[in-house]
Amino acid sequence: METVDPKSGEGMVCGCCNVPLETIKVTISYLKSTFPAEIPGCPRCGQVYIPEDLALGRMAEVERTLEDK
Amino acid sequence: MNHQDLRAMEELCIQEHAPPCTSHCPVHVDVRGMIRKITENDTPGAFDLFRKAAVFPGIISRLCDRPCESFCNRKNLGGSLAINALERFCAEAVETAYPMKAAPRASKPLRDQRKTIAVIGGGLLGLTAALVLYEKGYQVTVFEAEEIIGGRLNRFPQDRLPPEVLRRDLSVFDTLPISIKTGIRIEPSQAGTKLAEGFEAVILAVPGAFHGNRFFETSEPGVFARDGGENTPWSPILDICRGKGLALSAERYIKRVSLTSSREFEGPYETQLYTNLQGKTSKERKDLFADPAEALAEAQRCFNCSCLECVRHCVYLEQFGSYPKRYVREISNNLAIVFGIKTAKPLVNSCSLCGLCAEVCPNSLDMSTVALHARREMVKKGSMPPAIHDFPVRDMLFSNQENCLLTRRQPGTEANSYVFFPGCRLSGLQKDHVLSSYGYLTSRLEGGVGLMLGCCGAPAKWSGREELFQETLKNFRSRWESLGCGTVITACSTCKAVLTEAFPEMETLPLWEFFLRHDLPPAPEGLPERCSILDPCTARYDETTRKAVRALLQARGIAVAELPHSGVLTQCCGYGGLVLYAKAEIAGKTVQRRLEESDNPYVAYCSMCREAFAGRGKPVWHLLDLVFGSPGEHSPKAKGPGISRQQDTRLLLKKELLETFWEEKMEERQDNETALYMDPAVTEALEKRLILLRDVREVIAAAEKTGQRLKNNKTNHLIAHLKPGIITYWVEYAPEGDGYRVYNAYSHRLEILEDR
Ligand code: SF4
Ligand code: SF4
Ligand SMILES: [Zn+2]
Repeated sequence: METVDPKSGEGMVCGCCNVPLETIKVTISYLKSTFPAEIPGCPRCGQVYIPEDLALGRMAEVERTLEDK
Repeated sequence: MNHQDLRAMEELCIQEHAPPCTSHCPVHVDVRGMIRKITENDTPGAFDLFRKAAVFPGIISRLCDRPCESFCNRKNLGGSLAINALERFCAEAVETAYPMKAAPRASKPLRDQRKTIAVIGGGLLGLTAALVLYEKGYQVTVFEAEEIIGGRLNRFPQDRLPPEVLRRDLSVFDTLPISIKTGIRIEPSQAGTKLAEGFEAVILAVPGAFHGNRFFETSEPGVFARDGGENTPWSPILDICRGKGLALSAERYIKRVSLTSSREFEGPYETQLYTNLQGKTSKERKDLFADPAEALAEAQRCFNCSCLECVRHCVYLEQFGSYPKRYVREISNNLAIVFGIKTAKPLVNSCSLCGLCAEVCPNSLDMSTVALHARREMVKKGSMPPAIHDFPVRDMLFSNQENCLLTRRQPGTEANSYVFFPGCRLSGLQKDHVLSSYGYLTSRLEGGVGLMLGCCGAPAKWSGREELFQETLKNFRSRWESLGCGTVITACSTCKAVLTEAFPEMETLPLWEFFLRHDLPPAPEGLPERCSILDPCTARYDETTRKAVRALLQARGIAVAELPHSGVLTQCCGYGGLVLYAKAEIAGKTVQRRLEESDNPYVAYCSMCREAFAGRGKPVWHLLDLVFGSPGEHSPKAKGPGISRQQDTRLLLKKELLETFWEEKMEERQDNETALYMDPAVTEALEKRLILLRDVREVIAAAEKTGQRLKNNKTNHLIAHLKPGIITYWVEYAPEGDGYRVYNAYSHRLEILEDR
């Protein structure tokens, strides 16, 4: 999950904390696999943002790979 | 089904069996492979294949009595392939271009067995045995009565076997450490003395020594001789075959292992390979080649025999690039170990479970039973990714919840001879047909027609969720019993097939049957003059239904031109087996192929089939459109309502049925739905991504309640996500009037573990 355009969270603020999003570390899990990733999110409360192209692109690819395994 | 059953299924596929040319060739030359290489202009490669089996390529290419040719599938279509002539063509080409490479080749033994074997007779039979035994690592001594080896090969006329060809083939013995003792005559009766001299085994390979049995045993242990056949003409290729067999027997004897086991494919045998010759045209055989082009032309006559009947008919089987024997093996291997090899899961989930393969397979191998079994096992073991079938299963659960279910006797009667069960698909896609059909049935049939809405459970079955499936069936049954049972009238072949299989005692009849038994409603306007019928795959074994549909069309005066894939050979639309959700490309390709089968308008009698084919330029009628007319917006060319509308329609249908037939008003639904506004492009994206408006509303409601959402300062759009089940939904929205405008929505299955 390495490639997230750092600009994808630009102009976005957390609705709870009212601070701009930054790149934050999260853990991604699916079908008994877990791995770390860096995605845009709120540095204060941790609310994440998955942009559309990430969800339908790289993430969908990883989903398919794990599902086919 | 256990591992053994799966192995047995695997064996049913005969695609890997040899073509008849190879099976009837005593040494099993890969004729098909050799000829293919000739057509690919790889003559040396073709020659190598030939030499590998024939041992002495120069001799066999000139002298073979070619028993293979009488079994070639071309036999009655211009004459068998000139197989031996092609072998000779390869040999001559290699002899001319690379004389060094034309000689027999013996591979170096892997290990020295430190055992000696005597071969009595240095003709083709004995020399073959000697060569094979050398390769197996034995020390071989050949005793030949004449002064030179080769026996009768030395007495062939030059034009049949040129001396340099013979010399080249026998030259292999010049260099190998095989001891050749010429000028020593040993009578067959004396063979045993060689054992006393210290040889571990003796092979008798002189003319006249025919007293071996099928495994070349003689009355003397350790002495092996060829079997009967003294009265048949000499066959060089049988000599090679028996030379190999003698060597094998001697080896097994020395190693003290079974002489007889796994030898059923030694020598010529009848193959099981089926090759469909339909549509093949005749082409004259040629066995004298003036130039390489003529040899090439002859090679091109080869059918490259193989079965692949099922693969030809099924997009799914074709798509994975192999054939069921391999597929079943892959699936069963995958089931045997928990963490399987890649591709087995797509293989399991891409089958539409339609059973067409079993119809076209000469051995009736049915991939659907393997795929369904594997799905169930995977679900049980927890190795089935639940997201794959999440949508259709949730859609089924929606149909079977209180808001949509209805279980009633006909108003004003306690009797219940029939139960109309339209199924979830028709209810969601064309509810007016359900209303009309129920009206029709109640006004025509005596003895009471009850009504049951809901889903039969097919999605649970196809997804391998056996427990859920059984529970769904149980609920169906108890609702049916609560009405007092009765014949179930279905409007969907899947429902009918599912119920018939689950409850053999439950009588089911297709709705269409009743239009034939009673009157047909007046014909609607604009009916097609002719059509082709899309039989659903679940009607493959239901001739009654298929016949009723055709009779109904006839009664409407619509001419029917059958599709190549119809009746028992019909193909699935892609909804069956939930392929649409697991591998949409395969479903799409199947639909495309069937669309191309005819220019006629199509008539479907399964709502899912209609949906799959509609909206692709061709009018696709639902059979009920031809009975009641296609109401309002529902044009035969257009697709039906989308996934969210279908669910709403099911709710609405219940309400309208209660109002129309039972004069009951349903309580207005409390949860006044928030208004959502969106561009058609967004609606379309939601549809494609299988996101329901219900899901969107849920995301927004949660975000608005908790305040957990993101804000884009440039657009002022809000972005929120929610994971109500196993899927995370994202919605980009903004308040508008009394509701919200939705700009985008998408989903993913990976779970983000947010540490807040
Ligand atoms: S057509 Fe070709 S593959 Fe088939 S039997 Fe004849 S030579 Fe063999
Ligand atoms: S039809 Fe298919 S499954 Fe049956 S034998 Fe032929 S290749 Fe194998
Ligand atoms: Zn925050």
